Amino acid sequence: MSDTKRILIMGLGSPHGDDQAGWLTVRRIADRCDQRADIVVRTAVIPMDLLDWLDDIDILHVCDACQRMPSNDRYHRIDWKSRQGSTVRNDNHPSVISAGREMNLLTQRRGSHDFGLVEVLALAEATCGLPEFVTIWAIEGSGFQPGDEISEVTRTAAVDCADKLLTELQADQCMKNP
Amino acid sequence: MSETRSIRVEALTRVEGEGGLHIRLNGSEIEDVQLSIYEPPRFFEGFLRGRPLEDVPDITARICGICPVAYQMSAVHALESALGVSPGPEIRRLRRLLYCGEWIESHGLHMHLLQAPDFFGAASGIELAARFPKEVNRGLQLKKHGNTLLEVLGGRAIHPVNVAVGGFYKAPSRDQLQDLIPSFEWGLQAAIDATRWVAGFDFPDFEQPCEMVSLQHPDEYPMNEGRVVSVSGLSVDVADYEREFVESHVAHSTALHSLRTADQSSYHVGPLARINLNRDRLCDNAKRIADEIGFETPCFNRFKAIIARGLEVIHAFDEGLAILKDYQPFRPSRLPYSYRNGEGCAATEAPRGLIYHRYRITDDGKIAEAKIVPPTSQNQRQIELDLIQWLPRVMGESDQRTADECERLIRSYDPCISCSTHFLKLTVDRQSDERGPKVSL
Repeated sequence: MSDTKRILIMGLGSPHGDDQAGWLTVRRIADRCDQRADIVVRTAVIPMDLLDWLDDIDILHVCDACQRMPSNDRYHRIDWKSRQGSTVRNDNHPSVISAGREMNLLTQRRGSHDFGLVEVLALAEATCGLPEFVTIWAIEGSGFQPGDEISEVTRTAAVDCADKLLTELQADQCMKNP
Repeated sequence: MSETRSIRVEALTRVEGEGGLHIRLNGSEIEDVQLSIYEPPRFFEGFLRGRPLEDVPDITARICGICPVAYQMSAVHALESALGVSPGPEIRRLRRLLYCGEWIESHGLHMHLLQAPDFFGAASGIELAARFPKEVNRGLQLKKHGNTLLEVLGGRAIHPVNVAVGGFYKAPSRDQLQDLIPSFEWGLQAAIDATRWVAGFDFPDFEQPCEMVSLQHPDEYPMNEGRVVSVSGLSVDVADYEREFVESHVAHSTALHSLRTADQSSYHVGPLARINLNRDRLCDNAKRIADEIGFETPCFNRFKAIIARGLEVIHAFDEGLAILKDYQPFRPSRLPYSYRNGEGCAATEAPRGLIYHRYRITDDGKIAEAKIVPPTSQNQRQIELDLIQWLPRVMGESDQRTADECERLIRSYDPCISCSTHFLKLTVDRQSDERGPKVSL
């Protein structure tokens, strides 16, 4: 029986300005991971799509744009499950609210019928279950208007974020296959 | 002294529109109910003008992320009518299959995550999932199978790209569709179980007879074609739709209200209307379950639309399964056509009700005029009238509770403007009210 863990890397976004950050990040990863059979890279517009893609996934990375936060970092790594604890029951659960606040404007993105990323992750936890490890990579942006180009600051942050995630993926692979 | 009470729901957020609800009460008298849609007009009909007709299916699909197939199907049928093209049975069956996928994903979502929470006082689908994980997960799986079908047949689940005037850009292989059979076999049984589950909910006694309108086809449950019929006996060709129904502007909505032309009366489109007018055309499995759960038609209880959706999901899996099993690849996947001046219209059945398109085209293949009437604009006035009937039962409650109950009724329609999930920012403006001058929640 294989002990290879299946990894899904999902880029959330839209064609509008810095909201392309999630897509840009995962496309860079896809370009550099095309030999890795254990990695699936997908892009999506709405978080609900995630629910259709979780079968047999052990590790989930979600890359998404967020609004600027008061820090010097231009992208942020959030370990969903370790932050949530082992079980999320509903959106009144204090830990979910806490995470929602912490992720701030990630929750402002509204998917189909108001299911944002936080809601979708909580829903997955309550029904089909989440993968063993879930990490959200939030890339800061500032302009999300239709027709906008992605800003250079956000483009750079997306590249840096992708490279950081690639480094982690490679390190994990090296640990399994020293 | 009478008490003027104003209940305002500022934001029935998201989806294909943004809307709110304003209710003004004077003592026990309902002075006004307005389902207001304030999202700026999107001008799709305007910016289709001058575009190549081949662009229309993909552009109109962008109107809705939940029911893009409905827009694509209505568009291609209307344009083919204008071009004098009649796709054969293979294309016709694939189009029905695509529509099955959309009904499954849209109804699956609405039943389990949007409307069902209302029957258990749950604030969201997530909260409902904590109490009914198996059932909600089943709903998510149903939705997933609908999306998978859309991906295979349409190229992708959201805003499919494979629908073309004249057919499909590429017909699927037999293997691609055969691979879906196991999931559809599972889905059929799961849809039956889901329908039994929702049929056991505690429904308010709220039978409100009204005009209900849908397509009707002599041989099949309506999806892509048929006559426009109603429970009051209307039966007209789709070409006469604009004679029988008229859109009008109201001050509180940027979406047009659609009414019966003759008497400016409201009407209802959607799964309840379809079932009421086409029960005998459901597949045997859906008919059997409808009988088993005692679903009586005509049914005018808006809250029971969730059962109608369940029966339609059964039908969609049943019919979809038959098409998957019989499918043989065919060529050409789309029929050739020549440009000509012309005009054509079509109506199809979106998950949330009848949708009408009409296009006038030029001899160089451009759109000269477009008209699109979505289901939500047809239901808007009926929703307001339903709220007037519903309010006496709930207005004795707090403003928040009253607003919640009104939203619950609105959600039963699955309007594209509603997005259904707990979108409320409520402001209460009371005058001459012992409960306090002004409250913001």
